Amino acid sequence: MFTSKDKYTRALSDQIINAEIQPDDGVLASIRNMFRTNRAALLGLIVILLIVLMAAAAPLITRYDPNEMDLASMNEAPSAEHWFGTDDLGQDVFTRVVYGARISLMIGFVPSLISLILGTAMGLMAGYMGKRVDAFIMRLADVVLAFPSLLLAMVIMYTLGSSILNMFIALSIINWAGTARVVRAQTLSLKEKEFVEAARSMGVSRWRIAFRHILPNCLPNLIVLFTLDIPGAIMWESSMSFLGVGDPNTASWGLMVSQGKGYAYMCPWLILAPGIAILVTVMAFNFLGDGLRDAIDPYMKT
Amino acid sequence: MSNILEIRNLSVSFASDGIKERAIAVNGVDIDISQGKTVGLVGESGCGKSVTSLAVMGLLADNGRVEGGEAMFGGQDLLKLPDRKLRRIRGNRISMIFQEPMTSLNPVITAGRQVAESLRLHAGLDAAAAKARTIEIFEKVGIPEPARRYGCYPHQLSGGLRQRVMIGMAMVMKPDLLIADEPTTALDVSIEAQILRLMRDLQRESGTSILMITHNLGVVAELCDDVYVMYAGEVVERADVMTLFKECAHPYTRGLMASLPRMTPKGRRLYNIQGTVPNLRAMPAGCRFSPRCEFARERCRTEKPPLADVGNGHLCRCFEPRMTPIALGGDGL
Repeated sequence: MFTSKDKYTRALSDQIINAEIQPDDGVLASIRNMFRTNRAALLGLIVILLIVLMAAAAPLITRYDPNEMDLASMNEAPSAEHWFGTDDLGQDVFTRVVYGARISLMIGFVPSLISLILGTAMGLMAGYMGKRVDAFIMRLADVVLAFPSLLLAMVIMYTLGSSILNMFIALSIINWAGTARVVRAQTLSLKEKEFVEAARSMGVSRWRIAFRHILPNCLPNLIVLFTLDIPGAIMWESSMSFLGVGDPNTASWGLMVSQGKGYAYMCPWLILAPGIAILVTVMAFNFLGDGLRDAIDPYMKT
Repeated sequence: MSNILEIRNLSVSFASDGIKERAIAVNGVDIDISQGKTVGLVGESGCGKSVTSLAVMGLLADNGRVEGGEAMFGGQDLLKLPDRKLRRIRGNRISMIFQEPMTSLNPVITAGRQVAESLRLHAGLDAAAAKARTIEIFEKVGIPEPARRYGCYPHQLSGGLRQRVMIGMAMVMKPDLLIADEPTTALDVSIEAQILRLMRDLQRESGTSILMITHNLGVVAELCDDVYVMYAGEVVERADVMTLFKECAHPYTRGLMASLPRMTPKGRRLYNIQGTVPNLRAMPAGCRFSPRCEFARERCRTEKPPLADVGNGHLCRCFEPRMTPIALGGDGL
């Protein structure tokens, strides 16, 4: 039996305790808020979604086949028939740009994802296990970072051969070390936190602490790193394709620029169309990544 | 009365960068904790009270090392158990509450899941059962709307609620021993009183022994049955709580009692113990308290006093224990 005073104090204490819940809803709310104020990041997000949509719905957007040659209409200027003109084999440039988005997005995502996973695993191991493991992994990372990235990637491509799979490998190898460094640094600071000691005092095993307690704390940073790795990978691939070490059979934007450069004076659309596509995509990802970093940063300081 | 934990002659040392000699932080400490009792471990910062508890739990930092002694718990020496076996005891039969409820909860895992993790680990419950049990525990530690709080992240909870979550996490397996390392230092006094009451209620219900590490003599008076006073890595006095507050015998303990602020006499200076704690690497030859002791004599500076029984299990490390009543916040010793 509760007296009316009991009821009153109980209601009051509930009220007080409820008031104690802080209005801060965490990282997600901060990101939502960032999109509201940071127009560039919002634009980046919209452009990325449009490019993804374009890549997915490519056959619906254009009526040509990207590899269909029409030798009767070579190097034609942009027209109603061919929006971005045609190249030296009579292929429709607009179609090739649209289909090229598939390749370039894949080249952005796949190696970034591989280097994200590899770099995270390496960084987590180095930071958490420390001592010799740390020394070994970090010296390995130093070796990778000591080379000029483009040169290293080109050497790997020359050695392994020009295929899209080897492109993924080369880009992953040059990218993992940066991620590993960031994750290691964060792990080093996180493992000294009291909640890690509390987890240990609860009998949680070392591996579980590393993956279930420390790793989730690194996630916001990893999302930012991933978003900024994607345009990097697209740029590296474009550069390498332009320099002639890309896969000659996959019509990426970089390869299109490379193939068009011989006709650049007469037919500027051959390099402008894929060049602008690269520029827009890379900038969109950079805008988004910068915005995400700004939104997440305050959470990383606490 | 049987002892749940018997610490014998525990010594712990630490290495620091660039110094060859290891610093002895805990030197030959004996502590008994009997079943269902609350034992206070009191002393100023750096006297080795936290290190003692961490050593027992096998949680010393990488540069710390147990130099000797044993900690018998349920017929096993905790100091010699491999980590794999110790993990099954930690959080299950011995659990711990830390000082800062703000930082001892993982910010990116919901409060509920952190408690449920212990149940899944030690009781082998599946996710649904662990969740149901966690909500029960939340209710028991006085968290309002437990089902809703289950999904809250730590930053959405107040300090008092977070400490309740920590206590729930520590008590969920009904441990034989709860080590509370200054559990209320970071809380304001009204919340502190609530948390202490909660700990006492839970103890009464589950029969858990508590090792209460604190520098707050008020908390000791409130909660403890027996008290150990540590100074510079050694136990200097052991007594039941009544004896300690009435007639503590060691000059250091008497100094602590005398320096408690009192509300009544106005305009007088508070008593304080002169000097500072000795350097861990340069301990005085005789009694470690002698450089600060008002009553120190020649013998105190050269010869080390033993921890001797001064009556009814009241132990004191002093050649001349003061056996007169002590006034809290008094003018002198």
